[in-house]
Amino acid sequence: MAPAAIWLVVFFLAPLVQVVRLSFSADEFGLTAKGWSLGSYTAALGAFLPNLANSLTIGLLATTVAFLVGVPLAYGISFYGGRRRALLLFLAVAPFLTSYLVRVISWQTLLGASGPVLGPLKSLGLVGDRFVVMGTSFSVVAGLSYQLIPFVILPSYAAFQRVDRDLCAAAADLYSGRWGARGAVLGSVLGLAVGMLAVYTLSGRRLDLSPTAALALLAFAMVGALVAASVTESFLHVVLPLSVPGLTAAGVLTFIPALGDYVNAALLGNVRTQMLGNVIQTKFLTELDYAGAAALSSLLLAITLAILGLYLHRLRGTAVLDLV
Amino acid sequence: MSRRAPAEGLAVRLYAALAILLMFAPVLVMIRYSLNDSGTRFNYVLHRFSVDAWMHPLDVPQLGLAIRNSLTVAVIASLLAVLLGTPFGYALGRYRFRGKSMASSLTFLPLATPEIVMGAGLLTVSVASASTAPFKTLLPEGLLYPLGMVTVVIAHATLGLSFVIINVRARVDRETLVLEEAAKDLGAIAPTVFRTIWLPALWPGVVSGGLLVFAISLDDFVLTNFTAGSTVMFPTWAYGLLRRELPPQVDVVGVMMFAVSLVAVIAAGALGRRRGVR
Amino acid sequence: MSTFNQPRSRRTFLRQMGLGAAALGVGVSVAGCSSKGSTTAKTGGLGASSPVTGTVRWAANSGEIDPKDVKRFEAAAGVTLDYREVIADADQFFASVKPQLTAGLSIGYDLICLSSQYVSVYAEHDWLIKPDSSALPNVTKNLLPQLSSVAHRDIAIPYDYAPLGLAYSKKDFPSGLHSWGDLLSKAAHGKVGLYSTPIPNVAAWGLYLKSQGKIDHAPAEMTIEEALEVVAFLKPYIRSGQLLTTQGENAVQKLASGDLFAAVAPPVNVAEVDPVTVGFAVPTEGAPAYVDRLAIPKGAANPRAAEALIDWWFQPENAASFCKYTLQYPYARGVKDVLAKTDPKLADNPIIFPGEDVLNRLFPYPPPWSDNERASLSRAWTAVISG
Repeated sequence: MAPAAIWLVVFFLAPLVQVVRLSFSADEFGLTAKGWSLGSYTAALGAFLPNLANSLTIGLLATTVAFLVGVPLAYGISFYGGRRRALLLFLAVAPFLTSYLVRVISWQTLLGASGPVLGPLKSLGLVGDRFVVMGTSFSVVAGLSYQLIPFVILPSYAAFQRVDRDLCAAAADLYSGRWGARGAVLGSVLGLAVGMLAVYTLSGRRLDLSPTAALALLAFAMVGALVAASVTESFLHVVLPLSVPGLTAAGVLTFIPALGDYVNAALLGNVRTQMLGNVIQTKFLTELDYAGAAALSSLLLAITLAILGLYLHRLRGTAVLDLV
Repeated sequence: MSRRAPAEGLAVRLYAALAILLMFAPVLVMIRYSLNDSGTRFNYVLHRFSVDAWMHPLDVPQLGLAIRNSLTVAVIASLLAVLLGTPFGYALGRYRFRGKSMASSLTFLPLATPEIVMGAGLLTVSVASASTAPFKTLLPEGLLYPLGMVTVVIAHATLGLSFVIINVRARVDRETLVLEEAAKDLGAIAPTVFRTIWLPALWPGVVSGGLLVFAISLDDFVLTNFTAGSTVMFPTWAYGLLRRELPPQVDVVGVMMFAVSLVAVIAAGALGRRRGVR
Repeated sequence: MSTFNQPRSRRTFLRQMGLGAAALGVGVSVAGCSSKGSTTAKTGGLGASSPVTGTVRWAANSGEIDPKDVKRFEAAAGVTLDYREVIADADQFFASVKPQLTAGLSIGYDLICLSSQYVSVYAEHDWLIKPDSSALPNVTKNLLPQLSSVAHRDIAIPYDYAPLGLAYSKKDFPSGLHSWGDLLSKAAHGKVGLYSTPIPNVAAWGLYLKSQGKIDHAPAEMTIEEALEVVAFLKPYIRSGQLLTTQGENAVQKLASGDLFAAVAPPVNVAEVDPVTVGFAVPTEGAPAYVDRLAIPKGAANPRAAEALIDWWFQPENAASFCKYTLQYPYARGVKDVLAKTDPKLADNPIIFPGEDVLNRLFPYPPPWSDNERASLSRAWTAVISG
C-alpha cells in the first residue's frame, strides 16, 4: 500500500504544490516562484470570469446530455441485455477506443456546412443556407457530451447491476401502475430546468426570450412530463432509490473532467465559448504567464475540490469509494 | 425480468438503439474515409474509392514509430498503475486505519486536477531533478531528464492510478468478506485465502481499471505534450501532421484499433461460452 | 443469492476485455515492426576538413522529411541520422524546452527546426550555437538572396519558408480575392478563418493597415505599439463574428465543407487541392512569410554533424526534394531547374513557384520583440478572443 502513496506524493502532490506556490509568485515569467503576491489572482479574476462561467454552464449542460443519453442506455443494457449484456456494453463503449483526434475530425466532417447532415437539410430547405453548426456552442456541447458518455455509462451500468433482481421481481408483483399525474408535474419541472440551462448556454449565456426559446422550453417540459408520467412504479420505488447513490457518484465524476476540458472548445467552438482551460493553455504556452496560468489552475482545482467536498459531506460517513 | 411492462421495454430498446447509432456515427465516417483516395494530401473530401491505405497502412513515415511508442507507454503505464493501485485499493476497502479518509481523498485528487496542471508540474519537477542539488547527484543520469519515455510513462501512470484504485476498491464487498470468514473457519491459511477468495474477487476490478488506464493513456494529448520530450507519440504526432497532410492511414489506424478490440472481445466471448463458464 | 450471478458475468466480460486489449497490443505491434529510421552508417565523408562522424539527432515537425532523404544523407555523410518528428506545435515545443534551456540543460538534440516566431527569443537568450560558416559552403553559395537578410541569419539558417496568404473557395469568391479588405465584406461574415495565434495575424493585417497609411512599418520592423493597434483594429471584427479565430490547422477541410469561404493559410494546404474549387492569392498589400530555421541548440552533442546536415540541405537536388515533399517555397537557388527535369508540373505550379511580382509582396515576420512585449501582445489577443 505504501508504494502507491509514495508515488502519488512524489509525482502528483509535489508538482501540484509547485503549481500552487507558483500562483502566488511575484514574477510572472519565471517557472520557479519568487516572492509572494496576489497579483495573478486579481488579474485572473478580473479578466476571466466569463470563461469560468462558460466552463460551468457548458460543463453542466454536457454532463446532463451525457446522462440523458448514457443512463437509459446503461439501464437498457443492464435490465434488457440478457445474455449479450457484455457485448452490448462493449459496443456502447467501443467508439471511444479509437483515436480522439480522428473522432473530432470525423465530427467536423459530419457537422460541416455542406456535409452529410446539413447538406440534405439545406437542399430540402429545412434550414437556412447560412446555417452552421460548427463553431457554435452547440457543437462544443455536443462534442463534450459525446466524450463524457463512457464516463457515465460504465458507473451507471455498475450501479444498475448492483440492484438486487429479487427485489425487482418482488416489486413487479407489488406494483403495477405508473407514476402518472404526480410524475407528470415533476417531470415537466425537471424538463423545464434542463431546457432553461440549454437555452441559456446555447444562446451564449444570454437571457434569450425569443419565441423559439419559449417553444423549446415548452417542448422540454412536455417531454419531461411524458417520460416521467410513463415511468413504472416498480422502477420508481425500487430501482431508482437503489441506484441513485451510484448515479450521483457518476455525475460528480463526469462533471469534474467536463469542467477542465478545453480541447472541444478549441476545435469545435468560437470566441465566445472559450472555457477556463483554454485560457490556462494560452497563458501557459503563448503568454508565458506562468503565475497567471497557475492562479487559474488553482482556481479550477479549488472549485472541483469544493464540489467533491460538498458531495462527500452530504454522504456523511459513507465513503464515496463504497459507491463507485 | 420478463415481467417488465412491454411498452417500457420497447421504448428503452428503441432509445438504446438510437443512442448506439449516434455514438457510432464518427466511427462510420472514419471507416468510409479510410477507404478513400482523396487525390490530395488532406483526406477531407470523398473522391475515389480505394483500399490503398489499407494495403499500405504504414506508408506514412514515423506513423509506425508513433504507434509503437504510444502502445508501449500505454502497456507499461497500465501495468504500473495496476501494480501500485491494487494493494492500495484493497487496503482502502478491507481495513480501517488512521488517515484512511485522507488516503481516500488523495485518490480523488488526480481526477480533479486539470491535466495541464499536472503536465506543467511534472515538467518543472523533471527540470529540477537535473538542475538542483541534491537531486542532481542522487538520481541516475538520464532518468527523469531529458524528457522521454520514462517521464511520459510516469505521467500516464500517475493519471491512471486513481482509476485502478477506485475499480479495485469497488470489488471489496460484504459477500467476499463472508466468504473469507467461511474459508478461515474451514481452516484455510492466509495465502490460500488470498489466492482462492480475494484474487478472483478483485480480478475484474484490476482488469477493468487496467484497461481504462490503457485506453486513457493511448489517447492522451495534453499530458503527453508536456512530458514526452524526444519520444514520438501518436496523438501529438498526428496533431502536428495536420498542418502538412492528413493521410487516410490515420483513419485506418483508428478503425484498426476499434476492429481489433471488437474481434478479440467477440472471440473471447465465444471461447468463454464454449467452456461453459457462463 | 442472485447477486452472485453478476460478478461472474462481469468477470467473463472483463476477461474478454483483457484478451481484447492483449490482442490489440500484440496485433498492432507486430504490424508496426518495420525498420524505418534505423540505418547503419557507411564510410565516406563530405570532404570537409575535419571528419564528421557519429549520430546527429534532429527534432523536426511532423511530416517534414522524406525518409528516402534520410537514407541518402546517411549514405553521403557517413553519419547516422536519428530523425524524430517530435515538434507537434511550435508553442508547445517552446514551452517544454524553455525551462530546460533556462536551467542550462541540454535538450538532447543536435539540430532543431525553429519556428520563425521564436527565432529572436532563442537568439537573445543565447540558446544557440553559431555554426562555422566555413563548414556551410552550400549555404553561402545557394541561399536565396531574399532570405540572406533576415534577422539572425548566421546562427539560425533560413530554410522552410512560405507565405501566409489567402486560401479561398472559388464558388464564393468567383472573381478571386485581392485584398485583405475583401475579408471584411458583409458577404463573408462568419466565413473567414484567421490563424489562431496573434503573431501571423498581426503581421498580415499590419500590411493592410500600412497600405492605408495607419501604421508605418513592415512586419519585420513593427513596433509593439503598432502591433497592439492592429489588434485593436481587429477587435470589433472578431467580436462581431466577422472573422473567426479558432480555425486550427485544417483550413482546407472547412473550405471544402463550406464552413469557411476564405482562410489565412500557407500554399501547401492549397497546392494539391483541385484548383477548380480552391484558389490561393497573395493580396496586393502583401503577405507575411514565415521563415523557419535550422539551428543548433546549446548542449548539442555533435554540432559538427549538425552543420554537415544543414549544409547538405542546401545542395540543389536535396532542396528540390524537400520542396517537392513539403510543398514549401524553395529556399535555395537552382531548385526550379532541378524540378523542371524531374517534376515539370510542380515546377510550373504558380502556387509554389510564383512570379517575381508575388515574391516582392512577401514580407518576413516577426520583429525581434522582447519577452515582455510578446507577452503583452499575447495578452491583448487573448483578451480579444476569450470574451
